[in-house]
Amino acid sequence: MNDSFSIKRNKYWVSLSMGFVNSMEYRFDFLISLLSTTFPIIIQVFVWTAIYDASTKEVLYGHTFPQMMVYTVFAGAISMFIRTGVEQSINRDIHSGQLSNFLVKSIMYIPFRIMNSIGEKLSSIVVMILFSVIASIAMYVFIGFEMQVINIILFLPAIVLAFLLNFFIFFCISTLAFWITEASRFFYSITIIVMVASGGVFPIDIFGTLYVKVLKLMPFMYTTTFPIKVINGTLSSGEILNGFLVQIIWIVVFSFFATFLWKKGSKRFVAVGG
Amino acid sequence: MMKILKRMHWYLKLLFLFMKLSLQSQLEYRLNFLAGASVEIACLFIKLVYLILVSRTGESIGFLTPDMIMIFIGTYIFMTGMWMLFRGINSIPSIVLRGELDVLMTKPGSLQFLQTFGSFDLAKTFPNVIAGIVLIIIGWSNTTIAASFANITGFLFFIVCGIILTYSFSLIAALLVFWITSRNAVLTLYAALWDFNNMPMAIYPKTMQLIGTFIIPIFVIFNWSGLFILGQLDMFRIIYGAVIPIIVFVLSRMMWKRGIMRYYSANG
Repeated sequence: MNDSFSIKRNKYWVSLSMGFVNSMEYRFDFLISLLSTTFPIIIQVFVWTAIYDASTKEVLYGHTFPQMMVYTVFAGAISMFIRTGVEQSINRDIHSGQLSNFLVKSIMYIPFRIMNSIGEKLSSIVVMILFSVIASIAMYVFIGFEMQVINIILFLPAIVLAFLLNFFIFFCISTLAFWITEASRFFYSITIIVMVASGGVFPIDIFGTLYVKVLKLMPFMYTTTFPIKVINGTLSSGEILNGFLVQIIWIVVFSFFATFLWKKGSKRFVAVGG
Repeated sequence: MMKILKRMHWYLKLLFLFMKLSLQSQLEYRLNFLAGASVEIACLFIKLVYLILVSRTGESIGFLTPDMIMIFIGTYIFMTGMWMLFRGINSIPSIVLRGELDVLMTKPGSLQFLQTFGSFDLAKTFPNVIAGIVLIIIGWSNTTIAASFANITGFLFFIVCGIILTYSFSLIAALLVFWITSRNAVLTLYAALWDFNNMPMAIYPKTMQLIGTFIIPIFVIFNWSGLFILGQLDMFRIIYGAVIPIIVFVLSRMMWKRGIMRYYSANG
């Protein structure tokens, strides 16, 4: 009993370390891609600075200038953290036939992919924390943004739940690869749309109240907008608890949906070869 | 002279032939064509969000009204289409790393021409080029800028200069594969730098404007045509905008020659 538990635990830990090792395989690529993810943040900081400078109003799209800066910086960092690319990995596994390896082995594919994605994210987490600390200090010095300890503590479960929710959303999307031959490019399009809908590029408020109302009924904003609102202290404790509850409900819904789609899709999977 | 003209005619004919073949081969797999276009339409959506941002506030940024900004964003989108068009350039890193240049080396004509104009990605080009042109036309017609012969000619001239710069910069970025084996890193960085032009250079601080104009003249690609019709270019900048594409093109040509010298493969 103990042995079987340790083997079970061990193989998923190995999946995690595999993900970490893979992410560090091409270090120069890794460093440059991290550097590149900061560029959109820099661009947006300048864009918003120019827009607020030009505007006679203090509040634009429901945000003051400091709030918008905080949003821009944390949206970039959170997007970097929650993006797993799991849909492309699954697509590759399905179309290359590698999936058959998982089907014949005593490993569950969904837990394997979760652990592997966490492993791949470990290095990004360190960078994200460093980036967020530096950015927070800069925002404190230049725009007087102060972060409360309680918000930092509440931010941690919010970001973990956001990661899981995003993982399950994209896991469900990735099962399309069982039905579509050329899924990779569609996944890119879907990723962009989900990123915009989650508020990962701009605050969703810029699209108007109707859009915000529709989005509140969807899970996407709980992957990016909600954690940002937790850290910048714009939500009351009741709203934060409500947000956690909604995140958990969506995770449960999508995990069931993912399992269902996976089972349906696996029946269509055919691999030929030695 | 006649010989040069004849040669140019041959290359031009070849160019149209490559374009026709690219379109035919891409339309063979229509779903792939649509999938490629869908990615670009999704990316286009993000670029247009910047426009929504500016137009919904209704405020001018410096000397730029939202309609003028539309012209700059339109130019950026159009140039992105041009960048996507050069699939031959964008595929250089993978072709070099797989040792697939050998086949082209045995064919008549310039190797650089055959590789860089050998295939075009029209699925990614069409949405950007069409959207870019539409935005430029709408933006221009909403402003008081005269659609005079001088303005149109100047605008088109700097668009052509921008295309030459796009070709040359993309080639330089792709050719770095001969020196740096990490092909993804360079292309990712280049794409990130490209995105700085999502908005007119006027929104950036002066130091960044100077770097983007004189050190890595990437701002010239997207801003010069718009700045010309707005009367914001002095004589020095007009000449600079006309000369820099030639310099960067020559530089990319030299880099191509150097890079090819480093190429080797062990293909059968």
